[in-house]
Amino acid sequence: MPPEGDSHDAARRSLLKGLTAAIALLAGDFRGLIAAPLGGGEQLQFRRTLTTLAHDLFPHKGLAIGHYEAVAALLLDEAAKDDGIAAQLRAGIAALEKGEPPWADRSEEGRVAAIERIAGSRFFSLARTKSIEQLYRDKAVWRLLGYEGSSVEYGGYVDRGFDDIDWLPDGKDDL
Amino acid sequence: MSRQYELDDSSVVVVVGSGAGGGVLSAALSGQGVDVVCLEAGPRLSLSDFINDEALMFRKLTWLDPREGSGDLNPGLPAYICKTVGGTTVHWTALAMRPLADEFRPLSKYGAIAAANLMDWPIPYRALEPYFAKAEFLMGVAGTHGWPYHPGSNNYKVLEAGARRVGYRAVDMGHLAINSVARDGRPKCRQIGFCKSGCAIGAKWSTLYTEIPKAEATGHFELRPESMVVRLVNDASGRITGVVYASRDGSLHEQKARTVCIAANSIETPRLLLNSTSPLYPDGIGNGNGHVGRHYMRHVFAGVEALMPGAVNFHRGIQQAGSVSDERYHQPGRGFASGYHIEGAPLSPERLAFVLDPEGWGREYSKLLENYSNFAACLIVGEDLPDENNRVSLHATRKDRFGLPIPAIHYQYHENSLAMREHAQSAAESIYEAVGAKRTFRFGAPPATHNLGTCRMAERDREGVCNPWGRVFGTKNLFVSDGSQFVSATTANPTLTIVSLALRQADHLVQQLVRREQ
Repeated sequence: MPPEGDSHDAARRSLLKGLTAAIALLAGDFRGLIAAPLGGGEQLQFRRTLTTLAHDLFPHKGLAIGHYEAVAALLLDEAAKDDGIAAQLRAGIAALEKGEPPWADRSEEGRVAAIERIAGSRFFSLARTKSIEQLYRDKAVWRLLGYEGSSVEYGGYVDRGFDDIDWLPDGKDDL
Repeated sequence: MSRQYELDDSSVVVVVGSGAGGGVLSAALSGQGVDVVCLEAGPRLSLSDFINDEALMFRKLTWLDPREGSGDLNPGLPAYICKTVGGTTVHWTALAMRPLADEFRPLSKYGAIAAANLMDWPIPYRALEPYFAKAEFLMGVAGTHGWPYHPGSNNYKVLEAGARRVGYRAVDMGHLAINSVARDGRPKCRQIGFCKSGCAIGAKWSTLYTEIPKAEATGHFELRPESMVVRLVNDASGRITGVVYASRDGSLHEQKARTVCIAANSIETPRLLLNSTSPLYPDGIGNGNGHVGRHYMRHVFAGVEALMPGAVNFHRGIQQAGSVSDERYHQPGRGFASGYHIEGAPLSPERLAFVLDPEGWGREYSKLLENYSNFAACLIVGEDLPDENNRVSLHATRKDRFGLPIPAIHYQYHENSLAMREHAQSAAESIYEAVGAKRTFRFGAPPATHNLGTCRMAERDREGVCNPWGRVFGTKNLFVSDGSQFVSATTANPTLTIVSLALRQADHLVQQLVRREQ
């Protein structure tokens, strides 16, 4: 490197560097910045935060907390296998935790406002995807939704209501 | 009785792929006494492997080798097709529809369209008509050959009632290649749902348990599953002498052949041609004019979901729940060329949660999902236009585990497609609103199950990759035998046409083999 002849240049470069880092932070992209496995303390804290987050993303009345804990377990499991995912969790949760009190201790309104601020980030998209994959493959949620799932063991739906709709109008003018 | 052929047996016809194209071609050739070795990349499953679990079967059946999509495609999963014996006939929803005669003449019918490369098919529609009938018979298509249509399911009844109220007339349960009566050693449909997860009772036609066992019974056929063809081999004269394939353990083998037919779907077929370079074919086989991989089509594909005032339970029964065909005809007054079908298609809770609002979450969204029972849904399937810039090519940097470049797939919607999609989604919304929909939702672009046109047939090599019989230009004994041959997408779901082309090609090949021209 030649010696800095122009302090303006150096200042500009440093500013650009700072901007790039800030953009990376804003985008929630910590990959490469902090890519390390989650520590024990983080695991505990993250488990609570992710469980509450899964609930706030898809709150269903009457669905026990254990079903949301399963989402947190799934995410932590993936983070244990992939440092990139761990970094995403770390960054996303840090963004969620901005301010006081701890995110999970806030009112639902306060928590939702914080989620709205991170919607669109990679972490949000990861949390939403994994929440859907875990929750909407869960038979307890299926019962809540009225989805009956596998039918082959019951001989299909041929005698179990595949054509039982009864509220459709018959003629053209009765709606 | 299944045969076994030696690797150096150069008297065999090698078929690459065992789906609608390759499975049918294999059975038709071996049925006429031709010795066939069919190499299939995926494993061989049986009916007992098909369980009613969409997420699990997706992982088991889907082609998940790395591919990269760009343009308007999902980058990670640009296409949703199968890697298993039977190919995409294992997960297809069985709509076996004939194209219209006019749809074989898109250039003549629609006229030249900017930013598209329309061409008429080099074969007359009437040349395929007898094969359409033959294919419908072979597949047991309901509503043809005296077989009854399937009874309408709840999701269909909503679609039908709404469609009739807005004035549509061409509404029926569709020509489904699912047994509506027991036949061909397979039972009648039991409205199980889960057609996309593999039909657990074999009522739906799939080469896995129809054409493949029939081919094996001829004594002229060997299927090698988990055998991924990576390269074609040619001699200095340009003759294709065999194929190199990787078996399960990754080791490479060379199977000699008198003739090679590729039916690996519209992404892997051009990829195989492009990856087969030699001094004679520096840019890949059949690619002298740069057409291999171009004109990739995937249909105008979109969805509409509707929250209805009462229970529908759209998950019960046949997944492809009927079709509205009034809008398939070319009516330029609508502001776009060609047309589309509206086809009943339900979603699992997981899929509904993903697509109803692709960014949806929170109390209101979760409450909406709790109305799962009250949803009706359909898919739009319309003709998209061939565009030479929409293409399958070899990725510049990413390689698969055999060191071969992965497929890069680029696709951008033509403005004709966008206008059609807008019209179709509005039409579908009107249908549901006519029977009281409280809210409707649009679903943009699912990964394509219909992948077409990347080795299109043409009169001359300046215009395409293969001749009207599917023979690759510049070669004597290499054929394309799948949807890659399509010149236009047509408004029809493509499988019946793929099967018909395979049957026609088999007759041609047998004639050539008898005359020792192959």
